[in-house]
Amino acid sequence: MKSQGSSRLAGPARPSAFLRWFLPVVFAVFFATASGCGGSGGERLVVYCTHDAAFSQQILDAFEKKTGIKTVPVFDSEATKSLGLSERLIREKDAPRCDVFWNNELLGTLDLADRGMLEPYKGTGWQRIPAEWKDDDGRWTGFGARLRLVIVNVPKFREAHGAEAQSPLDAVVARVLNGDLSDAAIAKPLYGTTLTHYALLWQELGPAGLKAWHADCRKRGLREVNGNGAVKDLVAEGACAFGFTDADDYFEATDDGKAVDMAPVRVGGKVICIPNTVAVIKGTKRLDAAKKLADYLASEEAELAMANSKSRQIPLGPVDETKLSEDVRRVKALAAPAYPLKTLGKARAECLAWLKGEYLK
Amino acid sequence: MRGGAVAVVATALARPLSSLALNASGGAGRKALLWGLLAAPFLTPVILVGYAWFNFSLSLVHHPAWNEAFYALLLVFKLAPVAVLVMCFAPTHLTREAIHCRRLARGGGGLRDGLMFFIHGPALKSFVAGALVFFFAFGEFDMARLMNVDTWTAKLFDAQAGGLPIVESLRLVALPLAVEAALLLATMLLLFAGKGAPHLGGEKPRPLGPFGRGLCGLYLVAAVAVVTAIPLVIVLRGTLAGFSAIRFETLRDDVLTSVLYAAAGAAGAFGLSAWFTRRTAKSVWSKGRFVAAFLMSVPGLLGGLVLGLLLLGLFQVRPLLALRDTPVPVVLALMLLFLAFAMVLRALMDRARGAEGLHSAKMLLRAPERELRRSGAGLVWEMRTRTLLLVAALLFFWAYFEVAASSLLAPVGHTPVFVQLYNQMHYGRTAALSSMVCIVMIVPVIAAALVTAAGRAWVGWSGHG
Repeated sequence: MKSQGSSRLAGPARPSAFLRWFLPVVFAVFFATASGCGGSGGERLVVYCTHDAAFSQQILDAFEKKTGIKTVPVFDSEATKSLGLSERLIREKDAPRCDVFWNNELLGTLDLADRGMLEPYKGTGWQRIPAEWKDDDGRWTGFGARLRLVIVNVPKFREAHGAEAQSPLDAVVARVLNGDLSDAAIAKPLYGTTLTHYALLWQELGPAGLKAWHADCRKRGLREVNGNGAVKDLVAEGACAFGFTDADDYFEATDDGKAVDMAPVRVGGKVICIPNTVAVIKGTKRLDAAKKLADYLASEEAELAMANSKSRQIPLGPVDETKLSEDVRRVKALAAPAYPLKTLGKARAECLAWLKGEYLK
Repeated sequence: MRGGAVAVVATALARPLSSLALNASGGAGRKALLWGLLAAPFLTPVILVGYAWFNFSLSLVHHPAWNEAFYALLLVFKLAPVAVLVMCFAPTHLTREAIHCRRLARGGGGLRDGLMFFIHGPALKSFVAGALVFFFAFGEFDMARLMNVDTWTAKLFDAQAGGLPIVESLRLVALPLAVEAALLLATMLLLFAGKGAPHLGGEKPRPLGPFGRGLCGLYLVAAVAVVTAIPLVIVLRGTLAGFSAIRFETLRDDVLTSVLYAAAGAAGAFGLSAWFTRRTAKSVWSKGRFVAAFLMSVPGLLGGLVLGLLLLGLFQVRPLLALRDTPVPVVLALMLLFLAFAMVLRALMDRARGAEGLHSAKMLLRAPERELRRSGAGLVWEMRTRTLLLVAALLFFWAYFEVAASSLLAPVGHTPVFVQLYNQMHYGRTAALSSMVCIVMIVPVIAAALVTAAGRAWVGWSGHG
């Protein structure tokens, strides 16, 4: 006979009535509530957004206030940054839950357009943006851009380059970039705007040229870190004299009172200006609302709001210049002529395939 | 390599620290303080540690070897408590009588006997302790990424750039997974094996001398300062000033969402581990159940990112697609992620408590005298319920602070609060962010305290029944 005592001697406690009934009920109610939102049948517009949450949420709030259309943003997560929201969209291709994709760069959007995942729409927003910043077929529209630049720690740079540092920064940086880079930093080029930078060089220098440049930079001691923010921190704190990053990171450093300056990165005499892009996802069940958001994001109102936020994005369409800050006017003046990015889709794919081989050795 | 070195150092440190913990003199308050100091580094969320030391790590950009060493030091500080826990509570195959005889013989009996004694006693405990530390160190990702340290987890993360088929991800993770699975299997065999394996007899290690106690004290102060106090001061600076900027209604909903995800995930892992480690009348474990337990633990060893991707793909397929926008995927991920640890903790817990003593205490609950029943309830609390709650709290804590799988699988509009804060941390520190981190960190502590109080009350009440 089985002894009850022995079987229960060290066995787990039987869950109480509370555990058996109350907790499952709580979870069930929560699951039902959570499942009701964001699902395909809900009234809210699901927006996948890679622009910084702190700034984009304000724009989406303003849209909600203006149109009454509720938005549910899914922000790019640092925890899964390498995957990126454009990759998630590809994985969800057969059953999309996203209605509008707000990408803070262009090349990922180009990839989605090439895969036939974007709904063509030539609304009021698309119409006000110049041709070089939008898709001819209306599958995406660019707005609010930022410059790729070299951020410089002024005291450290002067200390390293002496009298030469008194010359225009542009010229000095161009010379310095050909020398010792052990005091310089760049983000890993596998994602983000550094990948755009590399894809552009892939097209401009050719695969062999980029590979040689990459190897040479490493040989000259260029430090690689995990993102543009880390590059900014390294330079702002004086651990490195200069580094490649974006204008929004540079402004973050100036807002923190750091002694930094900048010079735009130029390739073939042209700057790298990277726009935000908005696209309506094909198959959305909320097409009208999605179009309204696409129009709003590419509107003057939204571009001005982004320009006047801390990230100081450059408006691409016509805006009232008097409403722009001194900082934005400065970077806007530097933003032309800009390297055309619309044709970089193939270069990005090829360059990334090579980079992954390099970094995963 | 790094994981192995961290495991060896942490296990070596655990020996004197466990002696300090088990031989602590003074009142309950002093003992609680000592255990609190021991546990604090492990309980400090890894992301806070990495975030706090992010700038310092960047300053070592010209000295990658120093950066590596600093990262390894943080891992040792953070994971040594795990080894201490195992040293204090892991089972040994030596009976109390054997240990006593060995001591009486003062090490006599030849080299072979000495070696066997070592293998079945200290070496066994060290293996389990080292294995657990290795699991954590080997699979660590968040701190490594923030500190720009090269690890296989960081490489796997980079490999996702531009998209990577899940089959390819699994191929990349195959070797590390095999290492972890082999170690898990060995650990589970040691912990679950043999119905004749005796429970820990409560044999205390020899007390440390004043010099040893001093060194251990210094170590504890350093570990708590580096891993807990300094990060908390850095991250929570300006907390008070930021409270006015918080949208409490939104934060409350987000925290509640996180608590429910974590509670459901932890409850799932806890419940499954309880079922798997349940003993039958005939043997300690059945082979079928052991194999099932092991197989179910393996997906968790993939880590949050790969497991998240795997489930993301799985819930794209009909009929599971209907569940994609529900909390099911994220809860399932949390449950699987922590199942292996739940299993090991349950096994440790079962072995640490004296089954006969617990049975006697439970019999007291049926005594006719109220005082006896109350004493029995107190004993049951001390011997079983408190430890059960501790294991459950630990699982809840891990699930609450998980980011990778949660950010991939949470239903739209219901992102766990810590994922949101983690993202905001990358935009720089603000007073509002500090305040939110403070609230988010306090919640699991309050939850644990409430559950503990409720558990104690429940046991007390059942003693009155």
